[in-house]
Amino acid sequence: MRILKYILRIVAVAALALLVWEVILENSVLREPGGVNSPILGRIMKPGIYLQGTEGYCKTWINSLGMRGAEILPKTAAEYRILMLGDSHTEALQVSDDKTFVHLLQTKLAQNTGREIRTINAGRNGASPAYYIHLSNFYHSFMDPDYVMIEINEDFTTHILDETREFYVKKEGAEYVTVTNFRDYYIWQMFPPLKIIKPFVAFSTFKIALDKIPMMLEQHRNHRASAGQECTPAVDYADIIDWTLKTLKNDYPGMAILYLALNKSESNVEALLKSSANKYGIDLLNMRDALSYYYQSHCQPVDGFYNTMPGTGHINEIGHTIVADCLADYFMRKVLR
Amino acid sequence: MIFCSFEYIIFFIVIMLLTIIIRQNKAKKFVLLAGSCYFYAYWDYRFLLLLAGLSIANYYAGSKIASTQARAGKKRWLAASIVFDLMVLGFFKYFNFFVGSINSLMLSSKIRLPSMEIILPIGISFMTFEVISYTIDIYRGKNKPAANLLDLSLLVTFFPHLISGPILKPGHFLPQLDREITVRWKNVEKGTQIFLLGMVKKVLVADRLAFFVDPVFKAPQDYSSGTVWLAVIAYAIQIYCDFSGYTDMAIGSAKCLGFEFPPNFNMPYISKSISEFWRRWHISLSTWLKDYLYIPLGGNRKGKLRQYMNLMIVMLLGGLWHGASWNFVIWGGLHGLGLMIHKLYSDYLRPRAFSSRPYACVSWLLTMAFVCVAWVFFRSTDFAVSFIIIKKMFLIGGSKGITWYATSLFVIIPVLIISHYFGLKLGDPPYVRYENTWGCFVLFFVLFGLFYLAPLNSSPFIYFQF
Repeated sequence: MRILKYILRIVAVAALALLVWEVILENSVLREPGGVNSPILGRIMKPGIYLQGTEGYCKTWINSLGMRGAEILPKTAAEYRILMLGDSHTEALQVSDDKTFVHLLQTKLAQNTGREIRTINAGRNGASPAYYIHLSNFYHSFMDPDYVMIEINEDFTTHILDETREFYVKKEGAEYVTVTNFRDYYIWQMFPPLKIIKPFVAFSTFKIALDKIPMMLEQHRNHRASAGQECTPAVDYADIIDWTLKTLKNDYPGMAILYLALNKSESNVEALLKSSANKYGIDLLNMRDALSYYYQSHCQPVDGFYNTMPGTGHINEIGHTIVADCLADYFMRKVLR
Repeated sequence: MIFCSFEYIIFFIVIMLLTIIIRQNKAKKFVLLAGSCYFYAYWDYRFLLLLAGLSIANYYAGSKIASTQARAGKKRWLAASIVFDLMVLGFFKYFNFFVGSINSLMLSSKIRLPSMEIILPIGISFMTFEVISYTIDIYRGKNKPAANLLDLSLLVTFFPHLISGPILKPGHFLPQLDREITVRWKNVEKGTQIFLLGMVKKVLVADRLAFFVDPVFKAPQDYSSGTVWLAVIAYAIQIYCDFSGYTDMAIGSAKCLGFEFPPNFNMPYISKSISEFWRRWHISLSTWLKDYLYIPLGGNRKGKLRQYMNLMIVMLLGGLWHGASWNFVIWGGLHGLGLMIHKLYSDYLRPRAFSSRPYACVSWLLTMAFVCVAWVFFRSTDFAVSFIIIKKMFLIGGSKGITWYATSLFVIIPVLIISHYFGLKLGDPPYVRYENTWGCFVLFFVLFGLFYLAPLNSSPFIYFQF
């Protein structure tokens, strides 16, 4: 009886400590709101909450589609709607709402044209063209865009084939197809009995733990693995790039690609992308020159934050301004003439 | 195996349980020795032979020094043991350094001395200093030789201090082996708290600051002067929290097993002079250098000039002890110079009336600035990088570059100031009892905090390389 009482007291004290951490994490940059499962969109961020990013210093509202910003209202007759699809660079949880290139573009175009122009930020962390292809009907019917700008970066070829993502592309016979993979937490796949804590995932303390433990285990495994590991064979991306651009053009006839090149030199993927874009008549806005010119002339990187590392990670406010300028210039010259 | 790893926690619990279960004291010592060997072999089992060689040779020399009656005979045995220890250290740590230095001096001639691919055994500097002090203390009659080889082997290999100290004095550690080794709940309580404090320093402060310090020291030319200054200050905090965190974990581990280790740090960054800094920083090393180098060189007994020279020699060798690189020699030399200047100032120039608060502030600021500038040489990979950083810091050749006000630094500095303030006020840190609800809560709170706030990529302990 005494031992039971002692154990109960320890459990109660541990729970109290966890509760205090919950309060701390909920009110700090480590806040992890978790997500909800949408039958169409897969796992999206929990709607109706304020989210704080771990890079930069910004707090943003998550709408009912799990996207940043206000709810998307029905399109008015006079409205010209630009849908911005992309990954975390477009979603831009690192900068405040009025500093993202999507918002800056809207402001610039409205000022320059005097028209009612609305940009929709459909950026989604970890997204790749597989998402935009698979969800094209949803985007068309729900958002009714006049023009679509798709942001991709150097990693899009690996992301599009990554089977751990919600949507990915795989080859079936001679054809590529998009596949959905609405997965549960990795740790539940590893230890199914842990599903008992599923109702607690809404709490930051549990969410962070569920995200962190598999990463720690993975790191531990990598650390212990011998140095002489086999190299993964180089993948020929020509086919998949060609198929991606052809399908995107087919699904979104009025579209262009924003290529967010943050590496110093041009990669093989970039050369293939240029050639395919040319082949299918897709405008490719390559940001390399504009971004590197700014760094060279001002000695300030266009990516990274004070709480991460300048020159790495997501684009910062400077980067967003440069991208918005280039996009505004493109729309003024080519789309809204 | 590092202290803040899952493997270490398991290993430590097993050792502690065995120490509790086993009744015979000698068997407990065997367990500790076997555990220490496993701990070291986890990194590289081949160097267990080195540990064995150092222990056997010094045990034998120690016995001979004690048993030899004639002073000259004692001296010969002492000299032989010191030469052996220094040869081991010199071969593993400094062979390639000296070969490289000689080769670079003889650039004009075509003669090239061959270098060797030598793996530096972890903790060799600490081990050799411990065995040297063992034989010297016997020679000086300060303590008796170890009761048996097992005891001396434990002095050399005892896992909490094996890799990065603190450097144990035989007179302090060996008597603890004569007593019954007992794991007491009170010690476990205190020990785990010291261990956790060290872990907080290492994981939450040092590892976080590493994300800022490493890139700036890797490419200082890319960063602005302000950022470089901040990175140097961050490094000063990082190395303190890294090394003192390690020491706390060592002291805490030893405490759990019933052993007392001496403190190695005493808030060094509140020092108001370089002399005070060395009384507070890496105390076990500075005490060792004083007892076994500075005093034998004559200390302050042979006139002022000789004293200044002795200070410089001690610090140059102390710098070289840290690593086989001219950067460490320069670092040591700078501290030697600082000590000389401070001594000179205290002896001849310091006005007696100057003891006001502004004077103390200026003294602290000057000491901190000096210590930080010296750290540049300690941290940089080579001279070229050191000079780029120094030039940037003092606005020579422009101050332009990436401006990066790392958030981690601005969070950590106030925390450090507050903890130092309370540390000064409280003296000994207050320990909690796990039987109390409050103590239990603190334990869980810290454990959860470490889990949630620890970065995934932990840096290795800085002092492991020495």
